[in-house]
Amino acid sequence: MLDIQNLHASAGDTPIIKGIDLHIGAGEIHAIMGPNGSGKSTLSNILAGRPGYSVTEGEINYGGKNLLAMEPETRAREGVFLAFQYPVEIPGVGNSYFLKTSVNAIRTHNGLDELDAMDFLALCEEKMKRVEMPNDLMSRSINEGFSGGEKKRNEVLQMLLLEPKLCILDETDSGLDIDALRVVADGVNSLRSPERAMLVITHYQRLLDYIVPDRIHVLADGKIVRSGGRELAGELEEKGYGWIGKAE
Amino acid sequence: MKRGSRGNPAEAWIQAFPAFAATLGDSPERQAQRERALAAFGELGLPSTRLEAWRSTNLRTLEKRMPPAPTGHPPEAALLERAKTQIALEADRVGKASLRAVFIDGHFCPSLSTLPEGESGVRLLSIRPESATPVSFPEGYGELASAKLDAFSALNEAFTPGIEVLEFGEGCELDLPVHLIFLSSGDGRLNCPRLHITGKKQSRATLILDFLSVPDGENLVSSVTEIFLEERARLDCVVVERESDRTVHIANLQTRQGRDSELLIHTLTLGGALVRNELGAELADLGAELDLKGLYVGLGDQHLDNHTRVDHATPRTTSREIYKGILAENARGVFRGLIHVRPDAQKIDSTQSNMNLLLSPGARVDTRPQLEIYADDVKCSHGSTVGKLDEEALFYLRSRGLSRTQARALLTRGFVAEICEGLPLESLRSAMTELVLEKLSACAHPDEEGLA
Repeated sequence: MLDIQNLHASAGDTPIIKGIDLHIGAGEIHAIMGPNGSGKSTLSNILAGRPGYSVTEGEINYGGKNLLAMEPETRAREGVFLAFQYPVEIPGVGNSYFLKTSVNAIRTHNGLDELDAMDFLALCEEKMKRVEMPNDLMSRSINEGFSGGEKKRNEVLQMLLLEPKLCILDETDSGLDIDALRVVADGVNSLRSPERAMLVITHYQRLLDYIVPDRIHVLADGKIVRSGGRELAGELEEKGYGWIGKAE
Repeated sequence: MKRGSRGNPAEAWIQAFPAFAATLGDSPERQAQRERALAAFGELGLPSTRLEAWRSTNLRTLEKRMPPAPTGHPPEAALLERAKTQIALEADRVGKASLRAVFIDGHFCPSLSTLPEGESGVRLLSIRPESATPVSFPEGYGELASAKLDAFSALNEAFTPGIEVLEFGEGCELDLPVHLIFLSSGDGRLNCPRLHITGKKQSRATLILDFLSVPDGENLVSSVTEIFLEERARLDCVVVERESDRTVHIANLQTRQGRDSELLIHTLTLGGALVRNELGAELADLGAELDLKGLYVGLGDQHLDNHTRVDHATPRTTSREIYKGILAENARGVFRGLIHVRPDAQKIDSTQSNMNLLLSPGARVDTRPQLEIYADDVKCSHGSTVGKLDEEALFYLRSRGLSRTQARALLTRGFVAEICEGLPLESLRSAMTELVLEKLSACAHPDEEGLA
């Protein structure tokens, strides 16, 4: 589903990603771990199409298409979803209005009829229960005044509503207490399916106790320095990231 | 007359005055008043950019092509007929009203208006030569908009066809709004609507002042509105300016509030080639509260200027002011807000903010909040910002499948929400948001060109 080949990328003039190869098949969950500054978030931003980065070498193939040639909205409509590390607050725009616009933009792209207010509300209520989100968060402005946990729940709610093919979670666990982490992980796990791939980016192994990956990759200084099964998380937990650098 | 000999551009108006006055056939008293105003205008002349208050707004384009003085004749039947559809559309936008009156070039048009029958608490009287009963000047007339000191107030007093007096009776509570529509006919002339509003003790009302022009019409509108609120009166007033892009509008709105009165003024400026809103508010007695909200949206070469002056003349008065501007293409915005606290006016609570969104490299805004505080026990704050649409927010929305256009519209909707959602009627809230978005949808976004 996602095929990254020899990716090199810079933020501004600074090279961050220095040659990444990664293949994620449908139904697989991959985790990327690594110390701060290793390029984890840059990778997720490049996949979602955030402005400000330039790919200097390599290519990314998504479902047979050149992902890098697509605008961010096209990627979203084609099924790429990035759960933001820092979801943006947008005053004055109702959360529910935004979600409905988003759901309908993607439905239209896929040749489906737009949902009307009633249908959308029904769909939303069901998904909100899953992430234990209080009703009033729908009538408030997008993420405005939301707690850290509420923002992350809102991200997962969007994921549940949009049913993407490729879910990228960028440090979704940061700033979450254990209860919120469980709720968020339950939401993500409910999306596990043979047609869907996930890329979970995290600094800590804790999240991977809840969202169990098929493969773990360790990123350091813009390169994958180690790949392995889920047991790699335990090893990292025990020894920290220091030993990886030494192994280089 | 020295000015005249040097080619005072307003000389033509002064020359045209006798014919105008003869057409109206005013009482000698009224005629004398007009002549005094005209003389004052002759002395004052059109304000130049050398004046501090007019530094950012240049009327030279106006001087180059001075619109002729009004004829004094009421609108012709054909014009009334043509205006019908437009008026009906605007009436629909607002919905039911307790009083709806239409003025074309300042002339009251009974055939297009719906006045309340029987006792409703609101009265509209006109001081016009053709009025059946001679009316004395309303209390306070001309005290706030001085024909001696202010050139456009003087011009208005000289050339207004009639003084419209709107009165909310003591204790009256109107369920439905009062809707006044001021339409410019596009006859290319000077047009001077004049309005005098009194909210008697404990009256409560919602008022909409709609300034419009016929499509593509060209006029110079010099409007003057004075509002007096008595003790515990409450008025929620919405001023909407949506004239053609060939209209110049100098709008002078002056208010004075009595004890524990509450005044809300929403000023929405969408149309006009050049619009100058001169808003002066005097909080003249204890406990008076003032809430000013403004929104200006400029495209093309529009020049939209808001000057507000809040005068805390007595202790324990409150004012809240927030103006927002969106400027695109080559439009220019000006905001100057002065908060004045007099020496003995303690326990004042006052805030002011001005936020601007510039959507194109050619758009600009000059913002100057100003505090003049002569008392020591006061709470005053002010601030202004100028920025672009938040790139981070745009990306967030696009990453959820919204097109760039949709994302921009959503962020714009968010920006104006604070003003539009504060409007008194549901019909206005949605209509104004849509009008803003509709207007902006026509604007070119140069940053989108040349994208892969």
